[in-house]
Amino acid sequence: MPLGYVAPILHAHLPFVRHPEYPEFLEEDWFYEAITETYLPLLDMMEGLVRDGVPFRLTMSLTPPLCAMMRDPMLQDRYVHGLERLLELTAKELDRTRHDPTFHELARFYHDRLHHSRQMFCDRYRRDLVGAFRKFQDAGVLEIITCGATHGFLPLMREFPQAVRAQIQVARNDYRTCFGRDPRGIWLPECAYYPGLENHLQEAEIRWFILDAHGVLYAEPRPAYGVFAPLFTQAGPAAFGRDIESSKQVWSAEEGYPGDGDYRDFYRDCGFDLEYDYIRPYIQPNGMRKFTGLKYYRITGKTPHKEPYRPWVARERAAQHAGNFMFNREKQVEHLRRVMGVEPIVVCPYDAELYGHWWYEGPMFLDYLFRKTAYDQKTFAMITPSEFLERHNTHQIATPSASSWGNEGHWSVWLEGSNAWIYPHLHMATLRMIELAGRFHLTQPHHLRDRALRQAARELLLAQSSDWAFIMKTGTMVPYAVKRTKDHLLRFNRLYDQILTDRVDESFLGNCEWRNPIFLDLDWRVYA
Amino acid sequence: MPKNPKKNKKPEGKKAATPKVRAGRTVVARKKAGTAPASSPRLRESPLPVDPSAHKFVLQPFAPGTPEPELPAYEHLGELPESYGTRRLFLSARDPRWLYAYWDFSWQQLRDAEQESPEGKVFLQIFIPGAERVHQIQVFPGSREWYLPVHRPATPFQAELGYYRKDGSFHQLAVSEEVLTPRDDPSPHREVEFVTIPFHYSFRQLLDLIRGQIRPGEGLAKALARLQREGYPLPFPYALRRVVPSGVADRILEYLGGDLVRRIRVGSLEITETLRRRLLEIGSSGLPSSLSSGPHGRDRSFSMHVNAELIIYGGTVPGAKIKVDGKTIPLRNDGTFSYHFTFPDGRYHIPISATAADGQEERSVLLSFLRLTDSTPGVDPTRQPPLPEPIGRTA
Repeated sequence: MPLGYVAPILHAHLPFVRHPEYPEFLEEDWFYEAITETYLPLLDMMEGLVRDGVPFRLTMSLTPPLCAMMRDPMLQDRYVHGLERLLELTAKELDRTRHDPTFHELARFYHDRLHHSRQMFCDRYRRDLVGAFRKFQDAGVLEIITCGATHGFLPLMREFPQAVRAQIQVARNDYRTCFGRDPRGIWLPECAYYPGLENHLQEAEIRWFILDAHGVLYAEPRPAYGVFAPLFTQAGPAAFGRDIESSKQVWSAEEGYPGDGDYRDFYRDCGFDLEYDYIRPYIQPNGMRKFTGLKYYRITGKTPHKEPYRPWVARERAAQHAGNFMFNREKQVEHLRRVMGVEPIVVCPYDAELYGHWWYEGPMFLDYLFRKTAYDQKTFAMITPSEFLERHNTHQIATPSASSWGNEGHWSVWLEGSNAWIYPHLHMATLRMIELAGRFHLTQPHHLRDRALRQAARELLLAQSSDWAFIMKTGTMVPYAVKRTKDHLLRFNRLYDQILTDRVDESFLGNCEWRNPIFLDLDWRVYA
Repeated sequence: MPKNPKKNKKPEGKKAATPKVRAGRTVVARKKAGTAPASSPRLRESPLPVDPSAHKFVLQPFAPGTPEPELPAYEHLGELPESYGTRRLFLSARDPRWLYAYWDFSWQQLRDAEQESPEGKVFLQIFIPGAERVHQIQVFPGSREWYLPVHRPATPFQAELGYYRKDGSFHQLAVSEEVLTPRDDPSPHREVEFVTIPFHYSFRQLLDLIRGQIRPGEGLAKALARLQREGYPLPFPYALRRVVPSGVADRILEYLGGDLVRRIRVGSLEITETLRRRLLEIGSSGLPSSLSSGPHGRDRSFSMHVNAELIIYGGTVPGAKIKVDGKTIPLRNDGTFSYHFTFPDGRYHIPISATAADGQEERSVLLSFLRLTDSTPGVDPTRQPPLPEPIGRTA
């Protein structure tokens, strides 16, 4: 019997970005890059673990917007088209670097990787990534959890319980469509929690959620086991707290593994490093450079000078880091078991896109970690929170503290000078949606009006995505986040006026539906 | 192929307007011409500027220098209104120290309210329900929002907007919902109540099982815990009178506190620092602890220790420059700042000034403090975390 448990949890999320009105759109690259660098490598890792019979457990959130993008034929087409172009570039790179063995080897590395990606995406999974992840859930090694319908920041809609309920219920329904069962856990958007939120989770039969450490440590009353055991909230759903030590080991800019000099440098990219005329067909249609994903340098050190990337050395480093991470968890679990007298659970949640996209070797690190954990130690076992609650069903009752996993631990990332302007508009749209639902939910069905009501709810949900406020705060791609927020709100307002005056403009509605076809079966009555 | 590196620096966006021969063809042409490999495109040797924030959404290493392209007409949906005039007042407890309020009043509505009020003034007031008022801000017709420092965790607050009548009573134009600032320390309440909630029973099934037994306002877990304590028959086994050995909670917190001293997690420096400090306070507060390594571990003799620190905080316009005693203090993105340092005995005069980003305007304030410690023997200074040395000391 292990002395305790470790629960690795990856939060896979991207905002819904899909622009059929343009042949190419820069921000769609968030999704395409994540497929190549995060989602496919994670699937590849799980394929290998299952093939080799390695016992492992992983928990992942796949948020509704991400699932909607994964299932979208237009985005699938564009992804494949982008892969083909990158393969064309890597073919040219093989030619260009033929007299330079170091870079030629790297060009070959990327050429092979991209071929493998295409083979996985097109042939193995037939473009169905949701189905690919679902297969591992059905096999019992992966637990997929849900999130808010559009990653809305729930504490800032606390005044409007229908809006919080809609984020949860729509997400739960979408999960059923994607995965053929009910979600048992939820990644609260930004891990943002306020006391009382658990009532909405109870209604949706969601059994557990994750909080940052202080959300659990500052619970009322004080938790007896800190973050190393879940708390049952008064309504029943359990709160698991993030372990600070293991987060730090991976996340810290100073001490974290991803900063190692042998790992691939994220910023040096052929899209910027190669001469303009040569790279021109592979950057933005407007001629602006962008990342291509072909990155030839390693972090090297805190120096402007960068050395060429050496994939085999980086792989070795990832194995060392996995061993170090495992060793630290062993010591941690041994100590906690001595102190607690019962099996601790160490919950390690991360952004999934950290693994692969940002930290290129992250999926290798996880692969080694699962293999080493299975064969090189007996102190702890990997587990999912649901399995933990199945095995250990007696826990302390407490009310967690309002908290998020953002900087400073509360709402200040999503409510500050750059983004506070959105809330009067979001709240107004919420009030109006509640008004519409209240007014029409008992009336006779009316096809065009129902379509307009459904689209109004979609526009509101999409405007609520916490990503827009986050991007405004962090200063990257701000105009896009501002435009998305305004456009959804303006579309909502126009639909609201048209519904109320019974003058739905079908061409406008059709245009909205064409642009934002998320939650096809959305029940707008959830706002009633 | 540009040989002059400066050529690459011209705005690349312009090239898009007149698409050139695709690079693929260019390469073919070079091959035909027998171009030597040495003149193939080369990698840039200098690194790009790095912005590590928000890496998930980074698509370019730096903001492009060229303006955003003009959008086609069909992309223009109009503009959002300045306000909706619903007269709603929204209050949020942003964190343990700050509240945020906005009010949905149009310029005209606030102007009218000003004219109705005998003093011609409209106020935003923050109060603790049933207790004192903590903020009064005069609101002008153009204003929409306010950030309010309260520095009171786990405290309820409410906001109201209105004006004073001649008789001194407050005419309320809008009132917010009550909000509660989050805790910033572990709860003093240590009672531990366990409950068994079997995972294979849905919440609906559990609620159905004990329907009729739930008291008004009692949550499912609370009701189950009470019934399990009372030995109520349930169709699943449950733990009876499970207890946590004394000292476990303190040792866990100590473990986490020690960890936090060494490792402050990314992005939440402030809160982990707060947690660490609270843990130090717990360690030094004489609360029961099974540890012998605490500041007063096994020494049960009566003692006392006291200390003080000084936190200066405030706000200005984002982009302005704040100097505290001549030292420039980094400003947060929302224009707020704080400076925290030790406060030993002495007399302090601390000038604080704000200079607008364009250097055209300045505001200043002088804060003076005196600390004199006079104690009976046996009182030690409370341990303090590492803090900057005091500033502005004159005696």
